Amino acid sequence: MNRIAERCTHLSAEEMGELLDQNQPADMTSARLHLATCTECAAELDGLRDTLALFRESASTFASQQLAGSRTIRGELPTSRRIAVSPQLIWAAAALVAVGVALPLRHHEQRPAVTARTTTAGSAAKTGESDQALMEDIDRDLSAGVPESLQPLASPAASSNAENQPTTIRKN
Amino acid sequence: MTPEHIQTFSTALTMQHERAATPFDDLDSVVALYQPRIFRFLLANLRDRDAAETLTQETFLRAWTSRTSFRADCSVSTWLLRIALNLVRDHTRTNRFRFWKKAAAAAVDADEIASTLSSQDAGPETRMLAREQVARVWQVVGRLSERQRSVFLLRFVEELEIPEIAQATGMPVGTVKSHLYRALAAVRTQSAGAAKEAR
Repeated sequence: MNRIAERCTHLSAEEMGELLDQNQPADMTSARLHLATCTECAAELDGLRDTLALFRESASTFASQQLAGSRTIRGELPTSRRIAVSPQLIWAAAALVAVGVALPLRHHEQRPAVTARTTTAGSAAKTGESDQALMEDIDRDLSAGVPESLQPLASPAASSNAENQPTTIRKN
Repeated sequence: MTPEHIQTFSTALTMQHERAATPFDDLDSVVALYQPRIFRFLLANLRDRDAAETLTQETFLRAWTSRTSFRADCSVSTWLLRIALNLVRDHTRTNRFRFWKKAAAAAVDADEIASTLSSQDAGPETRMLAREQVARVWQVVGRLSERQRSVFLLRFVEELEIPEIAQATGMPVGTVKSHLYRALAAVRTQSAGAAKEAR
C-alpha cells in the first residue's frame, strides 16, 4: 500500500517546527514525503519560513533603531581598567596606602608644639578682634529688657516697673 | 613588612588573578560584542525600550559580578541570555509590570515594529501584506506565555538551536520543544485565519 496515501492529516506543528529546523531528525521521512505531495503544506511551510525571516529582520532593525537612539548603556558599567584589578590586589594596595599614610602621621605627631609656635601674628590679631565683638554682643543681650512676648516670665517684683521702662526687642 | 615582602605578596596575588581570568574581565569587548543581541532579545520580549535598556545594563552588571562562576560549559552569549532570561522572569512577575500590562496592550506597537521592514525589491502591495503578516506575528507573540515567548524568540530571532535554548533556559530539550511548537501553532493559527480572510 502506498505509504503516502496512508497519511491523511496535514503536517502538525511539531513536524512544521522540525522541518523549519535545518538539523532535522532522521525520523522525518513521513513528513518529508507528505510535503512532496501536499501543495497546501508545502505552501504553508514556505510562507511560514518567509514570515519568520521577516519577523527576525523586523526585530533586528527595530532594535538597532532603538539602541541607536537610546542612552549609553556602557557608560554606567565598570570600566576595563577597574575590571583588571582583583579584590585581593585592592586589599594589598589599601594596606600599602595605610602604611604609607601612617608613617608621615607618626612623624607629624611628634611636632605639635612647633606647629603652635609658628602661628602668624596676623591671624592672632583677627582672632582677638572677633572675640571682642562676640563679648560685646553678649553684653548687649544681657543688658536688654525683657521682650514683650515674655513679659509674664519676668520677675514679679520688676513687673510693675516694666511698664514704665522702654523694652528692647532684638531683631535677628 | 619590608618592600621585598610587599613585592612578593603583590606578585603572588597577580599570578592568582591571572589564573582566574574570565572572558568577562574585558567587559568593554564583551559589551561591544553582545549588547546589540541582548538588547534585541529583551526588547522583543518586553516590548518596552526603557525596560530593555535597564535589563540590558543589569545583564552585563550581573555577568561581571558573577564572572567567576562562568565555567565555559556554554558559550558567552548563551550565558548572557540565561542571565537576561532570569531578569525577564523577575521583571514580569512584579505587580507593577502586571498593572502596566493591563493598562496598555504593549508599550511598543506591533505595527511599529513591522513598519521597519524595508523589502526594497518588493512592490508596495507585497510590502504592505508582508508588514501586516509580520505585525500579526508580533501580536501573537505578545500574547504567548513568558516561557513560550522566550523560547520562540530564542529560536526564530536569536537563531539558537534547541540544545542551546535548553542550556539558556535550564529546561529539558523536550520541554523546550513543547513550548516552541505550541508557540508555532499559535502563529500558524493566526496566519491561517488571516489567509482565509484574504480569500
